Amino acid sequence: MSMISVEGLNFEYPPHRVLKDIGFELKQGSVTALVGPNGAGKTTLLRCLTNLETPLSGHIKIDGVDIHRHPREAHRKMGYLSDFFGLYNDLTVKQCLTYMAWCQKVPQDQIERKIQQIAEDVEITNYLDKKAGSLSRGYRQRLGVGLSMVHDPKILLLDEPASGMDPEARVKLSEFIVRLQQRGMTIIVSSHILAELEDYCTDMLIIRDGEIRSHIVLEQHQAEQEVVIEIGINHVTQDQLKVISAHEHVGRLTSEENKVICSFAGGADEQVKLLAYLVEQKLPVQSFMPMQKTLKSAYMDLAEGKISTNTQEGAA
Amino acid sequence: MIILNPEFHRNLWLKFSPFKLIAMPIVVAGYIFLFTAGNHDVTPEMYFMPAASLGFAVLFLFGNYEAANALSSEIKNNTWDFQKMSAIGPWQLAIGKLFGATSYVWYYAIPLIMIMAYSYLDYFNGSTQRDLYVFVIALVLSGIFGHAAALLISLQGLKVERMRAVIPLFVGIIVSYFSFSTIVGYGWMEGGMASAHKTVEWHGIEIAKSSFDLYSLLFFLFWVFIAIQRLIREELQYQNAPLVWMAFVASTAFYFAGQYDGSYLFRKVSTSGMQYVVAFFVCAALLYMKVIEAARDLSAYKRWLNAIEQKDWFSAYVDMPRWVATLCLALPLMIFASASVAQSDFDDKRFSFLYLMLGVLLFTLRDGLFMHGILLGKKSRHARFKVLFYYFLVYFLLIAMTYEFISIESGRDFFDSMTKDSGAIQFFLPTGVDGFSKSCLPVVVQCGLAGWFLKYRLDKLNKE
Repeated sequence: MSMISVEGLNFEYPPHRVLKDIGFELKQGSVTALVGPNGAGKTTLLRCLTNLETPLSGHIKIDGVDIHRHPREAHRKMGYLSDFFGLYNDLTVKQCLTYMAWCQKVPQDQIERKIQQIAEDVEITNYLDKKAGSLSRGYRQRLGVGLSMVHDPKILLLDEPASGMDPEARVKLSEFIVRLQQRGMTIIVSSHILAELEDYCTDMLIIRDGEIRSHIVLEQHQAEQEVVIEIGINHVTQDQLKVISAHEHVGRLTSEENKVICSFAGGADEQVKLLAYLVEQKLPVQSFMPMQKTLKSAYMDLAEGKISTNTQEGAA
Repeated sequence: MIILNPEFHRNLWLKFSPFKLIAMPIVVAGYIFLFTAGNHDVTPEMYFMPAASLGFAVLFLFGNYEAANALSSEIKNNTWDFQKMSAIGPWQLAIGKLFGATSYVWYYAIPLIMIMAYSYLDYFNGSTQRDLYVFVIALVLSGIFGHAAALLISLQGLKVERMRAVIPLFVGIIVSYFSFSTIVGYGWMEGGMASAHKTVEWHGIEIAKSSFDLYSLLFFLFWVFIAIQRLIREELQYQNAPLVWMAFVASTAFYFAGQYDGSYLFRKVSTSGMQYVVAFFVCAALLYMKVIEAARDLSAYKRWLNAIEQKDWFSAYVDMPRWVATLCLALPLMIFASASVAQSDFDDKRFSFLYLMLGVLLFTLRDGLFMHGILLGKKSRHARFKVLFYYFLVYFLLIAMTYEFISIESGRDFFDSMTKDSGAIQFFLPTGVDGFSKSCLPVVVQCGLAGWFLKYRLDKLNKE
């Protein structure tokens, strides 16, 4: 079921058209990386999706609700953390969360439990009585995420959520997003840093010059791509290379002293068969590592024109 | 209950602390003590001046400062998006912001007003109990009115550009001061409220001036609250139908029309006829305001035209520029007014109300077209300067230059040379004299020029 549906979305800061005929659909439970260069329109697109900006034309449906006709109903289904969000610095973390729970009409008898749950989720339990203004950048970010999901939204939109976070906090954010995905939440994350999206993204929306250049469903993309396999062998010989290249699914080969890297056209079953074949041929295999296509490589594939635009499933 | 309003509650958290709670009685008592310390016999009347001076400062200065900053602080601290994304309603947000931001002000103001009320009758000898009630009500309502006006202007500023709190602050102070002074009379400090004891006539109803002013204040306060709520609705991305705006225009026109009682100006015209004319001019003023405001947002026109093109009539109705809605009221009023004037004994060979009103609409069209062409929906830093320069040019510089040119030969004064001799003033202002060809044709030509200018600018913009 499509959780976010966008059709013919146009937006302009007169006289500049910032978003041009944007259209896509995202499934429930998907985690979408919204990527593109600076000024591509990522933040504007997120602000249109949250109805914080009024588009020139187009339709946006959030879980079936037209966001322009029923903004509050749509807002109840979504949480949003902007890249430059602010906090009430003179309130404590608990007061910030309580205020947001009131604003989001969380029933009074559930607020205390909700705050505890959110605090545990974003790991700020020990900071509940601290003033928001005294928190470090990473903890402010965690509180921001907590505030945006105090009402259990079905959809979470995060604009550069990891900016300013230290590596440990970034890892925790990734784990947190994976946990949310497991709960069935649909998430869009805008970021420049593709590596940090690697662990949890299912989709990638590439935006450039205000247009969606591609909507890639990563699983499908990976299945369609050649896999690169790294085979560890001590002191690789020409004979061993011949044996490997003789396999029907093996393509290009390169070798170094202790490993062979080959392109392989086949899925997981074929990879198992290749390993069995190598063992059968008595090759001293020390390691066998199929390399996943990364988001970065998928993005670069697009940038280099290796995949066509708007070809993947779900692209409008 | 207001205490359950999240926005109000948040403000209470922010505005109050144990220190601030204790500070108020100490400051108030200390300030009054400073004024009364030298006197052996302290009487109630001695409390009035210190309480009034501190009370007015707190309510009119501090209160408007807090109200003006209620929204700008949200924008500055980037917390506004969280509120816009929340489920809080526009009324809750409006009330919570207005009374929450000024909650600490009222914590000071209420005891000070009580002290003023306690000493009022002693301080103003001869004042009545009614005067006291009017004084207290006027003070409270003027405070709220000013605060609401400051909040409204800061909200309005969001549509135009990121306005700093200084303009809303000054508007709030001016509104508070004038609304209070109008009700109690400008000389109230010298003679109590004697000047407010007159009566006024409104739509034929005779009413005490102070009561009328109080009702007027309540009327405008009601509309300011509605305006705040509507602007917050807009910020929260609700769709605002133009019906509420039209109700405001109609009720304001009705209010001002009621103040014309036939005792001054154009006595030969029937009172109802003149009331239509007054109502038209109120409508025209609001129309002018909306035309100029619309020039800053070309996207709104595109959305509207887009909705019409797609035959999405509900969106076309909701997105209708407010000046179009106002024009829908102004045109029938112009027809009613001229028909009503024509039925009375007014028979002036040179002057025509119809041409005057038509001229007003045409000048509005001219300025609107030029302003759209100049601003082109851009919220640039120079927009305000461009607007001011345009007005300086067309309503001062060109008039002054024309006068200089004409008066070289005649040597007569401004009024004679611009109106009687040449009639040149008709190029610059609506006059309604000497028929359509002289009172309206010059501005029709200017409208044509303005239309060409707008088209030229739009073509240029489309090529960019």
